[in-house]
Amino acid sequence: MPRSARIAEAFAGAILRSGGWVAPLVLFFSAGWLAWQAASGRGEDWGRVFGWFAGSAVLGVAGICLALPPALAGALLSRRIPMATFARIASAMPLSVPAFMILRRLGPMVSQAWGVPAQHPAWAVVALGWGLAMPLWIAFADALERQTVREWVDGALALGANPQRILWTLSLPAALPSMGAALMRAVARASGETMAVLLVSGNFSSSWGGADGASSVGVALALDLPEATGGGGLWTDLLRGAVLLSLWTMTLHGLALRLEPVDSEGASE
Amino acid sequence: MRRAGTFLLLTVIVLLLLPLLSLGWTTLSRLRPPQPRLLVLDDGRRILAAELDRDLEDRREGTRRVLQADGSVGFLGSATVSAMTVPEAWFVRRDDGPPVMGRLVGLATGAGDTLRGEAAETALREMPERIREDKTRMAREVRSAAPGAAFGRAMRQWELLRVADDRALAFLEDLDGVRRPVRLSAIRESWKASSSALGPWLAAPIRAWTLFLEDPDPWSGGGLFPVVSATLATVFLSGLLGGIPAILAALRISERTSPGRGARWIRRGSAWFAAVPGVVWGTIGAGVLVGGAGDRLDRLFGDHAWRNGGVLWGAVTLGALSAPTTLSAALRAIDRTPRLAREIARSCGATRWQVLRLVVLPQASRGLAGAWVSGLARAAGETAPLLMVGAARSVGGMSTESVHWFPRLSGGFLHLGVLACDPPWPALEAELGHPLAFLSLSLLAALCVALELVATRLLRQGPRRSA
Repeated sequence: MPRSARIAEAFAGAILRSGGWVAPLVLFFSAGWLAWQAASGRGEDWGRVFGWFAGSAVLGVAGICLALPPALAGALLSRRIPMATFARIASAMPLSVPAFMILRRLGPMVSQAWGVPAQHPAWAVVALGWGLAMPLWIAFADALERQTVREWVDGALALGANPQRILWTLSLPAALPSMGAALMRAVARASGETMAVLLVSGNFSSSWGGADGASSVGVALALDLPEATGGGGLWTDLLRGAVLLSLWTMTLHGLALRLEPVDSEGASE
Repeated sequence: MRRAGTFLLLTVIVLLLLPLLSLGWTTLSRLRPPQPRLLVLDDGRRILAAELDRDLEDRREGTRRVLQADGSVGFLGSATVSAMTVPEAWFVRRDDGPPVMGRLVGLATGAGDTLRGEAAETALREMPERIREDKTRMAREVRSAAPGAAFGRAMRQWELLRVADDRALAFLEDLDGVRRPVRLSAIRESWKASSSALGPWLAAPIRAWTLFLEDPDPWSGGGLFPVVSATLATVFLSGLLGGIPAILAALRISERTSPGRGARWIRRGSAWFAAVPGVVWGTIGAGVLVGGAGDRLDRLFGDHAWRNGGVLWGAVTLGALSAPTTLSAALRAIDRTPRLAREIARSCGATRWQVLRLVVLPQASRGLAGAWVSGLARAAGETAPLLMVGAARSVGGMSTESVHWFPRLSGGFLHLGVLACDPPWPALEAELGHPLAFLSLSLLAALCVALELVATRLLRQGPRRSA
């Protein structure tokens, strides 16, 4: 090997060896710092921590319950998503967009017509469901497309099965694990959403939160952390809430990873 | 049956697209310039005013809000009998007071001349920009003049310009004959009432461009460019600080033929950390960077810059939260390159670097680019963590010293998402229906959608076929 190539290789190797550990170190250090802060401080009230956490979990699950029917119906009715580009655009929008439109347009209109409050935690559920229905639909449609074995479908068609029967007996059972994984990821995303909830929840006590003011971990962190004294009771409670929320979303992702079938072309270990 | 199903699907898609469509439409309609109109009320009064959108309170109480000729907001309890366009009425937005409406009766040029008619209208359109440019140039000359005679000469010229500026006025007269002088150099926007219904709609994009480019001012907001540049700087800096190390980590893990325990932990950890919500990363950023490193840096340099957060802390936080997304996407992209090709290259005597450079990178380059852009897309969509690491909630407070066309790394910074969700602009902006908040969120949504689509496209293309 020429000398210049050896030098280039040594240089590239050094960059790769040193730079390659930066991101993992930062990630593990961050997790360690959060866990240590939450464990070492003296909290004030576990009740409010669980209240915030329950608020986040219920918001996530309720939002997905709202997103599930259109997503499931869309994926089952047609394997191909109509207006696919527009669908992908809708799935890429930040969740603060539906929340903002509820805050500025829909909430006041509905409030005027039916007298319901223009800001309420229920609106946060609507915003999450509205924003996550399309990503969920795309994930379901992808799962149905990828997990269905073409040869089995051809065989079933040759034996005289109709498309509905193929869907219920072949495609859906094969795609169910992937669809379940997508559902869990969506619940995790909805549970951790902050800005959309902050915009439309109206910052008042909800029936499920059990805490005064905003009722999810994200909203409590965004509103109260700047006011909390480092190492104080509120600070520790907020960090405990953050740890609980992270564990919840990581558990959901872990379950999703377990559920999802391993992509044969992606396995290299 | 099939047609009914397709119709149902299209309806659902349109319904799900409604937030974006509604955002675009409302942004455009709120950016329409307010039109001065002659309102005839049922009690016989005739007023020159621009009608504002009715909010919840107005609908409940049956009132109508209008922007009056002197720039104040009025409530009309009585019904409007008729509303008609006044073709000669002007709407003038200025930075030293509320907007003014009225007929242009004259324009004093500052050199002692008074223009009327079309000449005055042309001067009203052209002179404000010229005077502001002259003032900026003159101020620069005064600042750069050497002490002594040159400085005295520059100051004399500055005084002459200031006197001329004080005399350069446009006079607008309302229906009651009240004449209001407006300093020409303070005028930011001026337009004549449009007689066609299409005119205001056509003016909306031009107005958006004006609001985008101009400096922020305490009366009418504006100046979205510093906000956009700070947002882009935060997002792309996060790609450098978080995305590049994540891709290096992915390459480092994949270059080993038999991954060790550490590599397996990183591989699993990247998928798990990608699930952690942005607000938790914001909490870590607030504790470690703003409260920890920022405080120490300020004590070291005797400064107050770093403990208030800033673009750098925002970018590091976004970089950390997007790194797991980039890392797991990059690992998937590298995994898609044929393992056999790598093993053949190694068996032929290629070094690790040669395998990486000649086999892995050419095939995985698109996927790695897609992984990097998907990290950017995640960072662009996050707003809540930035609230904790120094994103400012006030343009007005920052307009005098801290707003720069290109952001500084320390100190408060502006972000499109934060300003859209917590509009800091003056009260008049709220009366006009938050056009800048709508424009901010539209720009942020466009950035997120564009990045996500590019990432999806790059990641879907898979490995490049070798020739």
